[in-house]
Amino acid sequence: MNGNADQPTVQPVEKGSENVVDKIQQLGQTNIPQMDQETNIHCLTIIGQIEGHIQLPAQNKTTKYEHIIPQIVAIEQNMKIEGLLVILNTVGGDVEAGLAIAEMLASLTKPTVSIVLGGGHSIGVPIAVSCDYSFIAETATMTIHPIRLTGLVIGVPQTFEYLDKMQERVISFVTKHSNITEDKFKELMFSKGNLTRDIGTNVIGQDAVKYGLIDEIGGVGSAMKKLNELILERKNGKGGDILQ
Amino acid sequence: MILYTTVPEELIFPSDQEAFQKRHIIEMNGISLLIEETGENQCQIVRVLSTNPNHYLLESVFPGQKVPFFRS
Repeated sequence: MNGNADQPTVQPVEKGSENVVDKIQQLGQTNIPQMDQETNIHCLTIIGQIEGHIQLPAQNKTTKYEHIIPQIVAIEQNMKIEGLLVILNTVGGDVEAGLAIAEMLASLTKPTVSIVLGGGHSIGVPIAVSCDYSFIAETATMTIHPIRLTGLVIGVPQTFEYLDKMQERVISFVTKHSNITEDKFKELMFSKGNLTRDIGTNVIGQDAVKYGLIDEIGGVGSAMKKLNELILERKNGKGGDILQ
Repeated sequence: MILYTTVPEELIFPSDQEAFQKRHIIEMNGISLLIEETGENQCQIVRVLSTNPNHYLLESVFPGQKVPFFRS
């Protein structure tokens, strides 16, 4: 839904003191609530399925790259935002859209911390490792598996070599941005007996840290603490080359 | 019915366009919201599309909130 001529406008319901302010805004006054809404840490949630070129049914929870990418640009541009927390609970989805988000996060100059809650499966793995520091909840899981496609890329069937190259892009991104070795990642990707009638591995919290995929076990509290540390480091001029 | 295929479900059973046409992304008080039309001049907030955590605390944009809706 791009902005167009029949872009609807909304007026908030009349209720409580907040709406007094809303009414003032409608009269063309300055934006009062914006003042106390400033925060130095913003939060990006990657939920549901990562949507590619095909719009998924409306009932699906999706993360759309056309939403996420402008938000990342805005975060990079806004001087008041000092850090970004990325929260993942995704089943994966479109490889190229996922990699695009991961690359954008990796190239942010501001400190970024990711937490995997619930699941960060499939293409969620590169997104989780793209941040400066990554956390995983103890019960959260990440499924590592080979790239599966319908074989249709840009509308035409692709060769096996094309898919293989695509997979190589994922592997090289993950190994570059985390401490896992290529051999170990491939071993997890192609191992048998873990997934029903499929190859791959379901890596649970502690194991993800053990393999070097994720930096630490933790939740929101530890992630915020780490993010504040990174922000402080960057302010003190030491954050020139943050690990990973 | 079980379909043994690698073709994604949404390609086999495309969802009707109506569901998408009911959804809009609008901006209210500087906050991007995903809304769904629920009736004449009324819509429901489906999702807050913001990275600012404070926007999620604003009662006026809680998901599920019904708001009057006018086409301009």
